[in-house]
Amino acid sequence: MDPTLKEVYSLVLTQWPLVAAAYALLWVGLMAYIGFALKRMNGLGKQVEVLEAALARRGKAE
Amino acid sequence: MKSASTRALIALALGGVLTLGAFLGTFFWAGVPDFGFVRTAGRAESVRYQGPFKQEVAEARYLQNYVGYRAEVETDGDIVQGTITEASDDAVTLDADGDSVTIDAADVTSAIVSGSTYGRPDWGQKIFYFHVPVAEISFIVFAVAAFYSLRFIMTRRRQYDQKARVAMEVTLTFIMLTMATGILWTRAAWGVWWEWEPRLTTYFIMTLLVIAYFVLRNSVEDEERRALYAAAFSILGFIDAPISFFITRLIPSNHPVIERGGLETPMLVSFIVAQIGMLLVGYAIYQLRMGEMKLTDRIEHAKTLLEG
Amino acid sequence: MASLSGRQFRAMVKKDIVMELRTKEMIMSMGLYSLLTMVVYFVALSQTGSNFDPRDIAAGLLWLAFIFTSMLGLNRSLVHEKDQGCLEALLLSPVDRPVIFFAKVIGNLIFLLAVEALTIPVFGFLFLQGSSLDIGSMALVPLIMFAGSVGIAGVGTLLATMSVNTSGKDFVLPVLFIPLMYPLLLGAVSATAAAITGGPDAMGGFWIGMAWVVGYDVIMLLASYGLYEFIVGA
Repeated sequence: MDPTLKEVYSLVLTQWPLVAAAYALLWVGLMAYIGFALKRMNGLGKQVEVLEAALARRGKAE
Repeated sequence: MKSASTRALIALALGGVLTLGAFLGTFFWAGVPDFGFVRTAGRAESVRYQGPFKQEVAEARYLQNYVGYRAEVETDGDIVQGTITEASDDAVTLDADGDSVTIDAADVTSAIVSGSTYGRPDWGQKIFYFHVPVAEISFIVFAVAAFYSLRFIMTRRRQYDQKARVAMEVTLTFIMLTMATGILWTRAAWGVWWEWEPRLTTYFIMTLLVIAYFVLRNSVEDEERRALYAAAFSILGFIDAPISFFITRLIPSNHPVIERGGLETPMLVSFIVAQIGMLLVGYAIYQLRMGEMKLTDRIEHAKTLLEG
Repeated sequence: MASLSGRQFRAMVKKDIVMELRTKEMIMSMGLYSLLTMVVYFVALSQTGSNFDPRDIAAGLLWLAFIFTSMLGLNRSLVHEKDQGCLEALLLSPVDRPVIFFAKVIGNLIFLLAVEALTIPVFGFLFLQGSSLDIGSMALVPLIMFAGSVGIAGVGTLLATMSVNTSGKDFVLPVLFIPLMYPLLLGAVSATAAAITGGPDAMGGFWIGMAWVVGYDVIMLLASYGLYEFIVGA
């Protein structure tokens, strides 16, 4: 890099890891939260189906 | 009861597209603002070039700060022009067209140094485009939680307690994201990780209040009582939110405030799109967790029916 | 009706005071606690240099002592009510909930002020000897003490009523109480510091801090009063 430009961009060079870390934390945090919520919801949805099917069977049997 | 999760997925898709667009706009469309200026000896092709500068240096010892710069040094009527190669308290050495000239500092009567001025790009400002929307959403969702808490106290209906609790969870998530991005921005802009500054302090207190809300919930066994206590506490705690929001406008504070007309169009558009996108993402998370609550309720209901 | 509420109110405050005069438990425990705080302060300040001016941090130290002592007192007073079944009996009796709230607040306020009145001279005696103090502005310290204590007693009574019914009583109260108290502490400490430093410049700072604390008191007392009715019956 040109020494003059290096001088001009010295602030950018110290700041970019912080900006990258901020966006990484933001996206990873949000996606992890949403991902876990979606996964849990899928599991719960399956459970509901099984339980309500069992309820319906019992309703027919009685 | 598919509606909550359907709404969540729609909001998530829309919010995802908008936040992605805002993210691209932030990095590929919006410019980087200047943060003061920087002076260099040389000249390079750059959009930030603001022109040459000439400065008179009052004392010879200050020439040490300008090694590599062009200088015009005057000694008893004689003027030497050249690039400063070496400078100390006692003497300064100039490279004048290949000849090395050393001048005693005591002989220097005046000196003029020249070089180029550039705007210093403030890359750390990129954090702002998402830090501020996330912080705003945390205030909005906190207000929603306080509103549902009030509704719960008035009506005692369990659904409002659930809504308040889920809203509080979303508040905590967004507060944590605000804190993470904010701490990194503070480091980039102020050079410190944390400062006890009015906005940061009141926001930290807000974090503690939201954590305290969950501590309170976890330490009460009786469901009705837990809901009431939590509702009362979130209403009391919400009083800190407006204080934190307006304090930068009341007390002298280092924390920047967005001014009307302070942003160029590409920056403003990216920022607004990020705000809408984050609002939708916040809404999606809220609906997602509400859907989960409803599913849990259905499971409990089905289980009691099967057992009974 | 007004006179009936007034009589109920006086009876409840009197009950707290008579019980205290009999056992002297609250004053003893809070007073001892604040004395112990002074010992901790002495240890904390023992390594400071000779040009350290204790007046600079006197206000902060005083409010620190008050806030922790008050938490101890609030916990005690509500634990007594609960353990002896007094609160339940009060709720069964035909007394308006606001009367119960204000009687409890006044009771706690009286104990808090008593302990503060003991703490301030002791603190001055231990830490502020030899500092030049402006008696005129020092006379304002009781004013801010009173304003701050009203807020502490008001919010504290509500929060302690909640925390005695939780599984982690001693832990939950500070977690809820200290963040909520932050605005009041900020104003109270700045006003107290201005009063202790004295001088004509400090008076503006004092009244700004005072206004902040009074504003907090009004908002928080109204909110606590409104919410107490729902909390106490739960």
